[in-house]
Amino acid sequence: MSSAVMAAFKDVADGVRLAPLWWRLGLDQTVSRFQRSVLGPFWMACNLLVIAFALTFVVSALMGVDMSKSFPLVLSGLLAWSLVGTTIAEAQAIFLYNAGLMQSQRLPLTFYVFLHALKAMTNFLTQLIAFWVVMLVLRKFAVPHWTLIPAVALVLLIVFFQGFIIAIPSTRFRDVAYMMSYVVQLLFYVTPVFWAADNISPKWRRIVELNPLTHQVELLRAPLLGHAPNPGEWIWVLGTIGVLAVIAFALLVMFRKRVVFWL
Amino acid sequence: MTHRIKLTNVDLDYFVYSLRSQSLRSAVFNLAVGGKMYKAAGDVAAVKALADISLEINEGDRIALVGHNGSGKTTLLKVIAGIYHPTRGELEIDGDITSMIAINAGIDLEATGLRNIHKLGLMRRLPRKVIDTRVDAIAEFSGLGDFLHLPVRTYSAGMQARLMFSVATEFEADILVLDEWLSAGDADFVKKASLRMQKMVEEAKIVVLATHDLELVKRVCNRVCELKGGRIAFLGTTEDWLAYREAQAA
Repeated sequence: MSSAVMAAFKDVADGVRLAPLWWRLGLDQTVSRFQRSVLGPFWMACNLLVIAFALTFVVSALMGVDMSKSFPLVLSGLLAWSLVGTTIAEAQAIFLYNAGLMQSQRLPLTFYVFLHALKAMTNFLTQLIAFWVVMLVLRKFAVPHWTLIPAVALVLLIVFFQGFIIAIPSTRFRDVAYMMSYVVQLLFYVTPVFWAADNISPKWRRIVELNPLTHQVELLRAPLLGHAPNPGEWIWVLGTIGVLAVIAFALLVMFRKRVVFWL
Repeated sequence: MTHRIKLTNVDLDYFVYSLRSQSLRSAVFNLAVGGKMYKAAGDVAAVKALADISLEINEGDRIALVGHNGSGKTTLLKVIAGIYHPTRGELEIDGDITSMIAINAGIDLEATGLRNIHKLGLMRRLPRKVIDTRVDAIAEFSGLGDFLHLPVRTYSAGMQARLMFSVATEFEADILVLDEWLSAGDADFVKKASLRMQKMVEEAKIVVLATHDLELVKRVCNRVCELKGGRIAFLGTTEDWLAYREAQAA
């Protein structure tokens, strides 16, 4: 048993040591993705904008809030969601997408998870630029609070650990892979992404507060809109990282050897 | 540094998952009935692909893995390459392994030939500068010319093989793990390729090669490991193996 634990540690350590490789490979993938369509980053930004406008319109009409006030909230919420929520759906393919490579080259499982986290980061940064451009055009630009940097770093840690927790069962049971996109859609509605937690009754609010994704979105959204997040959000996110890290490591210890046979 | 591969009592159970066992519904259902049906139904078959393999390969060895189809050659190759982890037993490797098991591994069909050369070089953990200096040589050897500026998905199978082979054999390797002799492209290219392969094998410190080709074994390898049903049936020098074959046939 202890040798399995050691092997799992080694897997993670090797993944870290291979940082130059996944870093370059990840950036290479991003560059080639954008080279194929000249408007690549533009389409991503467009997507973000269109959904933000539509949701702002609906929410303002339903809740009777001022559109110009809710738009920055929705847009920053969606941007945060691209890191917090969308990555949950993407995580199912971490190993399945790299099946060919995994069956022909020796690389630790952690390597592929790092690649996934890096892709999530580059996606987020491209959309972040789009976000700032739009805010400038609408004269709503707020200088981001410095806590944005540690906040993104912490959420990326969640993306990393979550990667193992979703990818390992998704590789074993293909149904899980399909299920994840529905789960993410559901989570999108119950998390205050396009609506504000302040606008609902205290009873419901307490339930919303129990959703760890609420805190991740909030941790990213506050500095995006120019102010520091509540101290409580940091504690929630750090706690989430701790729990996810333990689960992820346990899964790695138990199934590290098996994953390649599931492909 | 001396290069070495050492396997001690390695077992490998190969798990074969049927379509049904990859469904969550049947797993949950079987959990409810105590998991017995799950096994009784034979959905997850554990095949003992390798049993009790002890093998030491030292610097300078060119070892051939021979045996019938399904005897465990490729599986053993994959264990040595670090792709499959032994279920039981120890595996020690000193040195950097370059495995050529699936020749088209890691290729990006959407990217151009040139970008793929870069990517495959990266996968071999080579510095960008080294790759840059070799790109021209690879391009020339592949004979693909201007096609290298097109996405690989537009290539024919032969062209893809030319590209992959050219990249795979451009960079030298310490420990070379090969499945079959790589054949690629048309007659002209095959001739050129086998010369280049020969050179690469000569320069490597250790070569592990799975093959059915008797002539190749005689020409290249100094040791032979014959597998039968996942066990080592014969391990020794090439001359001894040829004698053993004679004796078996008689």
